[in-house]
Amino acid sequence: MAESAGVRSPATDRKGQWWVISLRLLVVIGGGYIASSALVAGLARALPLLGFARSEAVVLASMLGFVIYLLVLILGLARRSLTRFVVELLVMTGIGLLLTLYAGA
Amino acid sequence: MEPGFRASMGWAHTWTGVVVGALLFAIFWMGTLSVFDREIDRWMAPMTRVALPDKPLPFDEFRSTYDTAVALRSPTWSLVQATERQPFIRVNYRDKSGVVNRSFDPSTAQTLPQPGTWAGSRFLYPYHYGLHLKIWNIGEWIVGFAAMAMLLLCVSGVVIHRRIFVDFFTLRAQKSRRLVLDIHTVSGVLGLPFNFVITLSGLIIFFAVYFPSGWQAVYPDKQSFNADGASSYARPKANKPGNLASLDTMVNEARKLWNGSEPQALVVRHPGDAAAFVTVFRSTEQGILRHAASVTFDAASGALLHRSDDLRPVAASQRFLTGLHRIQFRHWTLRFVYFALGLLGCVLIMTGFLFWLQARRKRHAAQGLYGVQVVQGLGTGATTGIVIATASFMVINRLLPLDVTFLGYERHELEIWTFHLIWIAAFAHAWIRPRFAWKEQCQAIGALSIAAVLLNWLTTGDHLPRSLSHAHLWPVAGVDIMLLAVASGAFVVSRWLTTSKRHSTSAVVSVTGASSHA
Repeated sequence: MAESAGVRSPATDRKGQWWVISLRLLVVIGGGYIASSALVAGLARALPLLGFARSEAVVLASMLGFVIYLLVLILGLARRSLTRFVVELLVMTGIGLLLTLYAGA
Repeated sequence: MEPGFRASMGWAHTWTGVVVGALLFAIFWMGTLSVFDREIDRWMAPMTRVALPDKPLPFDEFRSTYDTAVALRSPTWSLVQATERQPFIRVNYRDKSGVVNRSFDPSTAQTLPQPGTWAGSRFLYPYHYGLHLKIWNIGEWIVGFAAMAMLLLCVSGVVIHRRIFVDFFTLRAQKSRRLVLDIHTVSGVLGLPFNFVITLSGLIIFFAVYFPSGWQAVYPDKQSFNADGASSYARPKANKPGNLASLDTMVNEARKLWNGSEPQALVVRHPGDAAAFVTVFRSTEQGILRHAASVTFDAASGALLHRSDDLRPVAASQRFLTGLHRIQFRHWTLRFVYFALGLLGCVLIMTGFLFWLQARRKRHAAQGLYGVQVVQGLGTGATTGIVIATASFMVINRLLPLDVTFLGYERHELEIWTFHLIWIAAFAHAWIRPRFAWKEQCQAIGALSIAAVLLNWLTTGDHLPRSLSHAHLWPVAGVDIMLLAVASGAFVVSRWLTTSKRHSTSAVVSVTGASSHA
């Protein structure tokens, strides 16, 4: 962890860039939750197609939601381009919504 | 966002830790204490320090309370048998003002006085998952947010830590700066599996709160989701009066159906109605999987109405993770291991704060930045401050007379006010006296813990030799020993802080570029 403290953070050192960080945190935390939530809903609808009972699909999808959200958080903090991350979030949310609307169950 | 994955994770680890660390410490501290919440209950409510009889009292002994519930038109009446960790019988029903909790001696069926405290299982434990902020579940959401941050801290901590196994055997005790980082690393590596699993399972307990989109996408409302998953039984009121058959006959019937497994609790719905039914729940002490199997009987005839199915696989794994987190099963060794690992998590968070401060103290002082000042105040108040508040909570518990009220607040509310006011005072102290805050707060922890042990002796007569020699007082002895251990730990740390401060001031001259970390 010594390495972590050795890393200079250009973003925090530049004055007037605080809103860039705030915007990213908002997108990562808020947008990431919305995208994960959409995927959870989509999975809850789609998993019965694989033979899961409906209540089982809901529990499994929700438990996977925490892992999905964690991966989204990591991705969002690691991506250099915020635009690219936003596109990725939109794709995730889209898949989730499509599954919710059109998957069986 | 930084150049390279590791640098990004370093940034994430540092700043998540600083922003969420205070909250995480409170959650870890309360969670660690909750491992022994019932033992703290015994300590704080001396009237419940009763011995468990060899043979439990019959359930029908408590029918008079059932008749009270019928007269009050309570929607439910429930009875929980005495257990090893909670050695008294509890009866609950509702009157017009809310839930009535009554406790009974397990040998004589005498009513025990009201405890006048929320102690461990009603104050410390709900603090751990909900911060006692109930409006819109806001406390649960804040804790959930902190838990996600903890998972992120676990992952980013591993990513930025290159030499995870080499450093595990490194303890550079001579240099206090290195020592702090080494303790952070060792406690982080050693506790990693526990921290990750305990945090994830904690989130999974509340999956339906944190990801409502899951059940909303499939079910019209939460009730129908619960009903579909749980195989529970219900029927509406008949609005005609009805009787209650022998509870013990039903309990024996349930025992037979479970091949001898003990029933732990029973609930009667619609007491006094012709459609009343009795659900008997199996004890959950014997396995990790936290699922109380149940059998339901008709209240008037005692006829079997319903038997709960086994859980489906995914639901069973969710209940397994819940049980793993909540440790309600009977296993004393594991209980102590959980406690120790929880404390290790507290050390991890505290040393994280300390390292952040050490790495910046000189640079911030040179550049006139106030970050160190703010984080030090926050870090001290959040770590040693909450320990002081907890110790004060136990001290005031032994000082307040049983029936006291003050400004319209009841005794248990006064205890909780004391907890919060002392905690705020600790934040203020850390802000006003930053240079001496850690040391003085450690001394306060030591003094309060010893005072708590002495007050327990003076007000209840259960001093250590006495409590150690009676098996039913071992929980009290355990809490006393813990308090003494905390006191000695606090005094050792305060001494160490005094000496290391002397070292660091003499070393100022030799420190050069090493302290210019971001």
